[in-house]
Amino acid sequence: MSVPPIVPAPTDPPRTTVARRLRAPVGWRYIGGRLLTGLVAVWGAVTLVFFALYATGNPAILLVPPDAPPDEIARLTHLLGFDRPLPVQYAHFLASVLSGTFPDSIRYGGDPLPIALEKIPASLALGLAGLLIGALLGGLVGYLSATARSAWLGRVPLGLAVSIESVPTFFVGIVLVIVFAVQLGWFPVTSAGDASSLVLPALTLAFAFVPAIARVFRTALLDVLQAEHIRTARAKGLPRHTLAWRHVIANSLGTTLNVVGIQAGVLLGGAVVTESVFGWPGIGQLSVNAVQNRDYPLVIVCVLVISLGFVLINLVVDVLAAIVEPRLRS
Amino acid sequence: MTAPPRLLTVTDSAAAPGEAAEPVLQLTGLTIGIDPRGGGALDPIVTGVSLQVPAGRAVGLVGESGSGKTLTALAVAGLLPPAVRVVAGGIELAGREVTGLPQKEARAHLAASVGVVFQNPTASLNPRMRIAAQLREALPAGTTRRQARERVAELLVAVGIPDVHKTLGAFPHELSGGLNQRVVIAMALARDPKVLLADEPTTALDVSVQAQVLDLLDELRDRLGLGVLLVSHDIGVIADRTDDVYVMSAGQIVESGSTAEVLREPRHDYTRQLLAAMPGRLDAVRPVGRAAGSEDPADEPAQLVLEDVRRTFGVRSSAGRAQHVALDGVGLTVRRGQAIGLVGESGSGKTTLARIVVGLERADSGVVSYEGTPLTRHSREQRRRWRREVQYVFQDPYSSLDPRLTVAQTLREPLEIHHRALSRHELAARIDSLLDEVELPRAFRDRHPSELSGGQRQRVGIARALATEPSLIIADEPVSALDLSVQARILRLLARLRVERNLTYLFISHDLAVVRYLCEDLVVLRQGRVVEQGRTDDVLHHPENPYTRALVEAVPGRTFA
Repeated sequence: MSVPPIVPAPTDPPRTTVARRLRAPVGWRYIGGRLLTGLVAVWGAVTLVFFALYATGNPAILLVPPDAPPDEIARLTHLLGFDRPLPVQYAHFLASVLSGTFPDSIRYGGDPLPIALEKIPASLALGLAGLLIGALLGGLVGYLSATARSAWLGRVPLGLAVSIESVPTFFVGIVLVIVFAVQLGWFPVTSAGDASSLVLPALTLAFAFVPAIARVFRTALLDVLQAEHIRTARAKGLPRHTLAWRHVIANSLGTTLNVVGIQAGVLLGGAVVTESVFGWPGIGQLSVNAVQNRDYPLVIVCVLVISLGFVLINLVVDVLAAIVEPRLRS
Repeated sequence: MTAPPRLLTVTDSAAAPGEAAEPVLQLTGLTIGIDPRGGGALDPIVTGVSLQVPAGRAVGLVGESGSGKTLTALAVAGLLPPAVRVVAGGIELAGREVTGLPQKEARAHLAASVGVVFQNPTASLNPRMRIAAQLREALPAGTTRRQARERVAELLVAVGIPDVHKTLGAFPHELSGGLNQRVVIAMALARDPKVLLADEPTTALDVSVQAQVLDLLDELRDRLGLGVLLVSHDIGVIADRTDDVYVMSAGQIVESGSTAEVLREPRHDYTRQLLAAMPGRLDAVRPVGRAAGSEDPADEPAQLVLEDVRRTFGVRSSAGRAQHVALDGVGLTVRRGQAIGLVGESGSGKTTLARIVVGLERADSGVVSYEGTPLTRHSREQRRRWRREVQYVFQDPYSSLDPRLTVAQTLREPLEIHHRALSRHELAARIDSLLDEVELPRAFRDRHPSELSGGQRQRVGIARALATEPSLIIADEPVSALDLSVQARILRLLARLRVERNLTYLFISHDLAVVRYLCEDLVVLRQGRVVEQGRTDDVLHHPENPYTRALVEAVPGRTFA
């Protein structure tokens, strides 16, 4: 027989039997690549906003009294550069974005960047709280619906989650305010920016993406439960919780995390509405006000900051996905 | 072969040859039922199975898909799917009756006394855990960290893994199928079981790797006195590797006895049919007096010529980007009326070659000519002709048919593209005659693929290829996903069609017996190169290349078939 011997002698006796190969879970190349894609997305977003603002008319009209003579409008238009050809305006705009120097905020005066940055901690707190609650709740609902033996536990929470999904965010927010703030008085009606006033907006945000998480997690779990390696793990006679956490849940996280990343966009969009409903002093509320005031420098800055945030969240999610999913690394 | 250092505890129950050993596994009247709707009514799928696996012996359980052999094995391991339950009968494992034990106790006893090896090694391992961690989990509860470290390495040495250190730190997707199967076997041995259940342990592996894994199982059985239950559809494997055999059909044992006797003198009809379906035993249908007339194919015009064809794929791995050379300068001539078997192991480039020939893939360099003109220089008319005359039959009859289309719709598509002038009535007539040709009832016209069996689907796949009136058929492992008896019927069909339609075949297979049945000529590919070619019988009887020789020798059941 020309087949090689069955038991070759080990090359050298291993000193430590368990090889711990320490290496970064994700390479810098990977992160760099993702970041580059993200920056393209940011460029797309601000460009879109630039052209959208351009299409909605001459902002100079808003800066003068309604009865201002036409030559006064023309003078201001020229002064602000709105009469230059579109490509020139766009080039100027890109240059200002790249250098971080923006025209003064029309409403507040001064550099709009610090105004937007100042709102980030509040938005971040709300966003993360919403994300955390949503992911946990969604995970729980998904897990129950995939594994519960009783039809009640399997179907009712998922059904509830889906019915909440079909209601708009602002409505959920208003119902929560009426029940928990007005009727029960557990939480403040409008925000004071503190922890107790975080609860209702965070819940509102969370509800917006519990159903998506629940459904994706459920599908992932059902897939993994069918997988052959689960049979192998069962054959080992592992305790139930080890089987559930280490083999079933851990293998279902990859796809779910990707959805969390996509949902982060929904979260940011939801934040704009939620912050307005609850008067939460975040960047969402700031953007809405800026749009209402046609404070275009501030609008641009807000969009820039929000889209950068979106890119960063997705980067973090991608890195996490690569950590839980070794196959993505290579 | 050097014996590895101190290994697993050697059990003393290993019987000396000739001595009747205590059975370590005994099934008595095992009946398994499925509860498809969860209403509590059980349809029996396995009825009254009784079998014995003595210590130190290998027992085969052979049957086709749906015979219940896998469910029987899963029942022993306590791994039945949720809707399936043991209804009656007993499972006695290592001297203890398992049915009727409280769930927790049963699980503990099973974990301690049965090791299981499954069909798809890579899929059987958790993709996100390193090998070391997965092996550690399989050790008996109460093993200390230090003991675990030693033991895990010991197990890998025992299953013949060359670089233990590297393997322990690897993820399953970084290892080959053969290595992963060794890891799974190591895992099965981790708790010193008395019984090893191997469910098609080598079906997903290449022949040469298959032989190595089976050798390993034999060796471990001898050394550790394991009782091995080898579940397989492959009679060659059963013939080579088992002492006793049980033949299963439709949920029942139809015949049993010593493997040599049962295979030599089968008493039950089903066993006889199964044996007759082995591709090595089919009577070849050769095109006698070819339509073209000449006896020597070398006189025929070359239909398809490949010259120095190369194809490289970029592969990303943890080590960075690498180049995988799929085809490394392949030259091949296919003459009209020939049937050429293209043989090689996974990764040898045979599928890439086939895909290039039909235009699903492009060559990096080299020339592929059809009817004397390179594909790249075909005129519109020549291109149409090549598209029509060269057709492909795929390996997987499950995924190569559109699940939403009925059989008639699937067949109508190529007809409409290549014969535009046909009226509705003519189309319907053509579809009927195609169905006749592949021996499918005309009533199957309106069925969807989900309503067909694997063999029936493959017939539809063949009919679809025939629809354009091709002259060259490229078939990529068309029977490897099918049961033995179905495989035999499809092979006969292909042989008949070749004669009737005067077809040329380029037939890709890993199974030498199948190629031998269908093809007079053989080309052996290895790592993207042609290592040997010639008349099939010459190559198989007097292989010149060492690789071909190893391939021929590794085929299971050689002595028997």
